[in-house]
Amino acid sequence: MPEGHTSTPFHGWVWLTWMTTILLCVSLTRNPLYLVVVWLCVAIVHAAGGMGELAGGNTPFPFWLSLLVILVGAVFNALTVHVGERIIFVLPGNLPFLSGRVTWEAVVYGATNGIALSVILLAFWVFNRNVAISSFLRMLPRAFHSVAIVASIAITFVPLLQRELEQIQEAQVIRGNDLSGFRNKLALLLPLLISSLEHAFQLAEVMTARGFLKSSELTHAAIWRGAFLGGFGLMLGGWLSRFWGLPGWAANLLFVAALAIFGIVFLVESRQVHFTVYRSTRFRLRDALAMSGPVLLAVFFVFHRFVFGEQLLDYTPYPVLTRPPFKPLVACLLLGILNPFLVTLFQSHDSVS
Amino acid sequence: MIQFHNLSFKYHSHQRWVIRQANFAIPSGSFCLICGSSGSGKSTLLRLMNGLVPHFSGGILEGEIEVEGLNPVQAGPGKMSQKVGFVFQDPETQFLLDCVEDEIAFNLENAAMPAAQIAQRITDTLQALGIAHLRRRKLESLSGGEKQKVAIATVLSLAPTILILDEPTSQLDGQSAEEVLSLIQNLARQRRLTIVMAEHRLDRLLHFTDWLVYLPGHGEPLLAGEPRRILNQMDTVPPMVQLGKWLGYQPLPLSVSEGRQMLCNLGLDKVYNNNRSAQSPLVNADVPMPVLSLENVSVRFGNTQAVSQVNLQLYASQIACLMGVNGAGKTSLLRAILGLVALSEGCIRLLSEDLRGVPTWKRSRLIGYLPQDPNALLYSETVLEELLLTLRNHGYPEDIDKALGLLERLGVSAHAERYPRDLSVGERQRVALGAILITQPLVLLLDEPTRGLDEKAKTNLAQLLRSFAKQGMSILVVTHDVEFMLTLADRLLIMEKGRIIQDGSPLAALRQSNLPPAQLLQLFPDQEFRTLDEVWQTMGEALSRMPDRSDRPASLACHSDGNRLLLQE
Amino acid sequence: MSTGRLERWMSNLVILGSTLLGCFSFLYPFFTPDFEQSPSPAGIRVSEMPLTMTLILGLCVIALLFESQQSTANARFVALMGVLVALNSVLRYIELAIPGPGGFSPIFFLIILSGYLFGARFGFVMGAMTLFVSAILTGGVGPWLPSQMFTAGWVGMSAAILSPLVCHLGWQGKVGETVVLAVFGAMWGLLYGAIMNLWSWPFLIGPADQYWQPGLSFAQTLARYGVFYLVTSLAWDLGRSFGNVLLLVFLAPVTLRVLRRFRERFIFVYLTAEV
Repeated sequence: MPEGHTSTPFHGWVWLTWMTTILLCVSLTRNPLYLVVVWLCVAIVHAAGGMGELAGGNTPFPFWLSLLVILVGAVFNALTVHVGERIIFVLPGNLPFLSGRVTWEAVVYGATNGIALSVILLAFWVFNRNVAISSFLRMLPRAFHSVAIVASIAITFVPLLQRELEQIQEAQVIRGNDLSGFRNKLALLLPLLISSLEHAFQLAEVMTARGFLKSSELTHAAIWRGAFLGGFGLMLGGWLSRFWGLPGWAANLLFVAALAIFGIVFLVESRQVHFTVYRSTRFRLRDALAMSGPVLLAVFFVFHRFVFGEQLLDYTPYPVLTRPPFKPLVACLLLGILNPFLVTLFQSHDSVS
Repeated sequence: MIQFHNLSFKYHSHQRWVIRQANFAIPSGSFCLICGSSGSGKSTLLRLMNGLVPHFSGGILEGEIEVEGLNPVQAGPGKMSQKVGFVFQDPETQFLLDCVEDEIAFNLENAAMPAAQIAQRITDTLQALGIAHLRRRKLESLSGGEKQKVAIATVLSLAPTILILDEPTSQLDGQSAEEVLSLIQNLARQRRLTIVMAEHRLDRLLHFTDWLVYLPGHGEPLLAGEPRRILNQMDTVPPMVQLGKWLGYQPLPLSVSEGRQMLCNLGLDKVYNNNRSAQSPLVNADVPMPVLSLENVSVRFGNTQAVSQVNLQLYASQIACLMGVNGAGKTSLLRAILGLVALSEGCIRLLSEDLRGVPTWKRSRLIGYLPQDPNALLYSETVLEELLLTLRNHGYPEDIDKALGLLERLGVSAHAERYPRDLSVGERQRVALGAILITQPLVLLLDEPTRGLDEKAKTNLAQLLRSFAKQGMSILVVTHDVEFMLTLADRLLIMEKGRIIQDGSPLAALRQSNLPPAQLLQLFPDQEFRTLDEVWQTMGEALSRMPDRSDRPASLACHSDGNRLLLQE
Repeated sequence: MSTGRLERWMSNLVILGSTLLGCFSFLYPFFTPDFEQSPSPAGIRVSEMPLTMTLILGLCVIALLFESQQSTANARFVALMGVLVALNSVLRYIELAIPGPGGFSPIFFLIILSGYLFGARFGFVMGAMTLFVSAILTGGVGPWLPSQMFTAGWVGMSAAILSPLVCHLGWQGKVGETVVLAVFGAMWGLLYGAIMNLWSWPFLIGPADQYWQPGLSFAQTLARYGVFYLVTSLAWDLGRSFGNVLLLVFLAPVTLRVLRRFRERFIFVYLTAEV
């Protein structure tokens, strides 16, 4: 446990929900005012730094970079999309893409997209920072047992490999390779590969001797494969239904059905893998509190979007720029993104006093 | 109970049988030692007991094995893992996760043990092995010995009835090896487990061994039984046992106290006044100038002073050994000489030329360095190619005759066209030596060269180094192996906390240090014996002066004069 | 064994299905104009497309991994895969630390070779897991991850096609083999960039309904994308292509020899002789 972090980490699922909610928000609304609120909330959580468990020595995502993303989005869109009423200036000439009207509408649209991208970048940065690699791997469903083992072997092996690389470099130098130039550096890659394969062979022997992975566990029954194929069919159908002019809810229904099928297959297959989990972190009250905000927000957004249509969240600057709608209720719900930060804040406050 | 019924086995890639008609049993609860030179099939024999052979390796099998009522060939290694724990040679490649606790838990998770029980099992196992303090440590941060203990804990957590160890100390330094061996001794004393262990170093283990299996190699039938019975039939045995055999003394002495008892019983304990003078002078009078000289050399890593103010002169035709506990700065000193680490102070001269500013790859022409793991040097397609690669790196012409000549001298010319990594540990080391020595360096530095070598390979290495020294090469060997040092060194340096605290003739320096003495030195605490040859010679002289005693064994009587001849039997 | 054959078929179908669906979701920008003409109140809109695409691609990757992990269902291949993925992640780290020419990335070298030698499923897992592991190691988990995993997985999967080709031509261990691999590497160097751009393109371009005139045909969209690609990424991707060729030409013959040697140690049979 790294020192200096008195607060215990949140459960991995908290951050997963948090991130999913933010992705939902960003996709479901393009109202710049709401997006700015989301951006601010994410930025505050981001600035609060690691909350407990650290995934590694990640340096914080530079703020100037997230602002640059917004700026680039605005400029790029303004210069390439020449639609809108409020003209700032006109680029003369016959330049492909560039020449034409430069409008406020395009600037606002581009900036909105930039904010969305910036929010996504920041949110993932927060996720990476707060979820340790081991808990991330533990969140993988049991059906992916062998994939998870591959990942954890790889992660364990990386530092060993770096040491190995140093050794090989040394071995090269003491045989007169001065390591200058492309060819001499390539001479490092092959020994690294050979020693890795050697390592793989020994590791495989260790795993066999300890009885990992009985291969019978991992064969899938034909019926589940069939279900998989059905799921793909439904997904493709949902997609194509738009071309056939079917109503949107039908497409959504197909998507949901496909997701359900995948979920069931994974659940059933997971049961076949006999495996216990030693370090299952408990889901505590504070995890529930931290998760409540994002969950509420996600439910609200999905409900509005798919039941009431889109009036509440929808906004587009085109064709004429107008003031985007701003409902205090929506803004309040958006503040739910701050929940993990607030819970940590109050808890550490309690423990101090 | 482990039983072999007429078992023969061979790998697909090999023509001859590795194990032939093995017919023996290992009793339950015993500590069984498997010995034999490298390549004699020890690993194969061990792997047959848990099904790794043939399930992991492939091969052709005849006959039957029975382990705890199961046939490993039918049950497969997965099922056998519940009965048989297997600990491998290399501590670096046995782990799948990064933390001690997780590694053990992973094992139990795979066995689908409930979480609460896992926690208890981890605590119990770690406590039983006395490594509870390692529980939350990162595996990376552990020493080799600690890693091996964790590996033992990992397999014992599944509560097997048999523990198999495949040369568990061969990749460890002396100190770590000692720790692991005493842990194994403790386990053996408890008698709850059948322990089967392959090992080169018998002297440390024989006194608590219940059962000995000897693989002579070359397709000859293996021998199994009471240790003393088997030792009588073996060619290579530890020096003290050899002495007992030469003296025709029964029962053969297996521990130092038994050895003393033997000498006492034979009246050989106080018979000679050994006043041999220090054999080799420190400085060869003909060559007053040192080949390599270190002046006030210091190396710092951050706040730790790895090497501090070392002054050292190495002379041509001299073999110096460097000993000391772990972390004394031995390896750092070697690396400093090569320029792999920077000096914080002082200077290094090669034939009076200051090496400051000379990059490592240039130094390596005149200063050869064999690192601990010679595998790191080997990755060419053929043995010959390894040597030519070094020449190419240095921009020398590819002199194939010269390379073949060197391989001849190293005794591996028969393998010139083979893939280096297919060779045995000792042969690989020789190829690595070849890759270094092809530039004809003046100085040769070796770091722990005896790691993983069997007795025969050690003797060969010592002979080889002697012959190089005779031709004028100056050799510095870092080693933990006291016996090896005594057969080799002209001069012993002992390091402690970055300083050289002893520098002198091997026996004198060793006596004044607190390093563990060799078995022969323990047996003859006030004599100057370095090798068994010397013991035998002196003993022969002493005996010839001694009046005949009726209780002197007959064999001794007839061998007491021509003892030099006898040694070559 | 008819059940064995059925299983094989089903398995192939699942792989084919998820591959097709993945392709389709990559290509969505080319289809957007059509449904924008009939906006339905609850239909999926353009701004939701990237999320939908990420979701579907994620599912495809999961399905493919799920199906392909069978190829690693013995300890030997799990260890081999783990170590190769680690090696590749280290290479990717080197790439991040020391940027080479343009989009040069050393990761494709091993992905291509492992797909070529160990088959399509192994190749897919190798590609996808390399990106996954290096992402969690460098803190690079993001919405781009599924598309990266998918595309890199494809690189490995498709490399398996070369194996029967080279076998048929009898070029194993000869110069021809290296040439085929190098050409393949060069092609994927460009293609990888082109596919990955499709993921970020809609973000950069902005409003599809404005940028693509309603009724803009597939060909016209393709042309626009072509121009976009030429302007923004061709130089970058050429660097990657060149890097792949360089690595494959210099190292493929030796590496293949090493990998084949190890493959023999990993794949074998054992016999119990009759007594």
